[in-house]
Amino acid sequence: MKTMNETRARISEIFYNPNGTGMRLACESPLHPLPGQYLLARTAGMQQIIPIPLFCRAVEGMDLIVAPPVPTDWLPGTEISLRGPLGNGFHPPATMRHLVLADLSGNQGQRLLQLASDVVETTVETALLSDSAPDELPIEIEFLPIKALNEVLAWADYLAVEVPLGQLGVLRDLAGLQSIREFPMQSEALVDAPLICGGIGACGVCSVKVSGRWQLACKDGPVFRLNQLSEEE
Amino acid sequence: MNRQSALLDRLELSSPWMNATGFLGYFPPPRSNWVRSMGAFVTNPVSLLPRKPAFHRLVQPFPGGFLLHTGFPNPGIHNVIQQYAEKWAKIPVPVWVNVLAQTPDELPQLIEPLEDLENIGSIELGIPPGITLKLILELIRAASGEIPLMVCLGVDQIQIEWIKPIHEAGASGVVLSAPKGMLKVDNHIAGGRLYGPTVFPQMLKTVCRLAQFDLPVIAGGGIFSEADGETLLEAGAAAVQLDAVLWRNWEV
Repeated sequence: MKTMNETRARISEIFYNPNGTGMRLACESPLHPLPGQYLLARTAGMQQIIPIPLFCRAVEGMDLIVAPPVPTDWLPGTEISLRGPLGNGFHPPATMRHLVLADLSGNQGQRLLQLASDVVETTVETALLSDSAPDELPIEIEFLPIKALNEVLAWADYLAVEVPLGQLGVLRDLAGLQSIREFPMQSEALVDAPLICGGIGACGVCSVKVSGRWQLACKDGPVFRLNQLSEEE
Repeated sequence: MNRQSALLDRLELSSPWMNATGFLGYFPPPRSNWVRSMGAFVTNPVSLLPRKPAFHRLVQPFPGGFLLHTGFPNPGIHNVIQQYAEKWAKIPVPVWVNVLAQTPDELPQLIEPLEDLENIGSIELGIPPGITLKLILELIRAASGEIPLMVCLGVDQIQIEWIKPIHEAGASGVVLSAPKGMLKVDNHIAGGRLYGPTVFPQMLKTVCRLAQFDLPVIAGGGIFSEADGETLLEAGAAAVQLDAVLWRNWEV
C-alpha cells in the first residue's frame, strides 16, 4: 500500500546538550522543510505512541540537523519514518537586512536557527534572543538575553519568534507594547503547541485563535502572522 | 451466516474496520487508500452550536499511551454540513456523524438537518461522562429518527445493566470509546481521555461481557495492531474503530 508522503531516515549523530538533545538525520531522499515547518517522526517500536514533531536547525544536503528536543531513547543507527514537511513556515521578506529571532519557549531559539542558516552568508545581520545561548551558535549571529527584546525592535526589519500557547502577553510585555498588533516590523510567530496528527485528525488540541477564528497549528501553522494572533481566548 | 457477518449486515457495514471519532477530522485525508477498506467513515464530534477548544487543552504521554483533552472544538452542525455535505455524498463508504449534546432539546435540531443528506449511514450519539441512565435514555429517544443510532459510551462508563434499556430505547448498537483518566501535569491534575495500547485489556474485557447481548457492540479504543482488532472481533465485537494508530501508520 502506498504511504502518505513518507521518507525513511537514520539517526547518524546525537548532540547531547543539557538543554535538550538534538540529532543529525540521514534521509533516503532529500527533504526541504522551510524554516518553521515540521516533520512528524515515528520509529517501529511503541516507545512513542504518538508521532514526534521535529524542527530543523539546518539542512545540509540529504541530512537534517534536528533541533532539540528529541526523545532520549533515540540513538545513532535508529531508523525513523518521517512525514512532511508539514504546515506553514516562516516567510521573511526578500528585502530583509536585520533579522531578529526571539525564543520564549525555552528552546534556545534552535527551532528558529534555520532562518539564520539560510542567510548566514549574506549581508543580513542576525540577533538571537533567548534565555540561554545554544551550542555552536555561528559567530555571525549576535546573542542577547530575551529581556533585551524591546531594545532591538527599532533595529529589526523582520522578527521571528517562538512562543508557547497562552504566552503572547509575556511577549507583548517584553516588547514594551500595549498589544502584539503593535510590532513595528513584519513579524511571525511559531506557536509552540502539541503537533501530534499532522493535520489529519483536526482534534483541536493545537487550536490557535487567529483573526478571531480558531485555526489548527498542525495544519494552518505552526507559523502565523504575529499581528493576527489573539492574546485572549 | 456466522455471527460476525450477521452483525455487520445489521449495521450495514461492508467491513468491520472503521476510524474512531476525533481521529480523521470531518473528511478522510487526501489520497487516502484506507478509506476504501473501511466499513464507514466516522466524523469528528459536532455540536449544535460552534464549540471552543478547552482552555487547558493538552496531550500528555505516559507509558503505554497518552492523555488527550481537547474540549471537542467544532464549528457547529450548520457550518459542518455546509462545508462537508457534498463531499460526504461522494465517499465510497457510509458516513457516521458523531453528535454531541448536553440536553435532549438540542438533538432534534442537530439530527434533522442530517436526515436530508446523502450517504449518512448512522448517527453516533456521544454520551457525556457522569450522567444517569435516565438522561441517557432521554437523549437516545430524542435522537431517534430516520437514521440508525449508535450510542457512544466510554468503556469505563458503560454498565452491563444499561444494555437492555439502551436497546429498548431505540439504539442500533453501542460504541465503546476511550476511557477518561487523570495525570499529574506540571504540578496540577489534568483530566482527559486515555488512548494507547494500555486501553486494550479493558476494552477486551468489556467486549467479552457485552457479547452475550443481542445489541451490536463496536470496540473503539486500544487497537494498535491488526491482531488487536481481530481479537476483539473474535470476542464478539461487531466492528472495531481505530484511533491514534491512524496517526502512526500513514497508510491512511
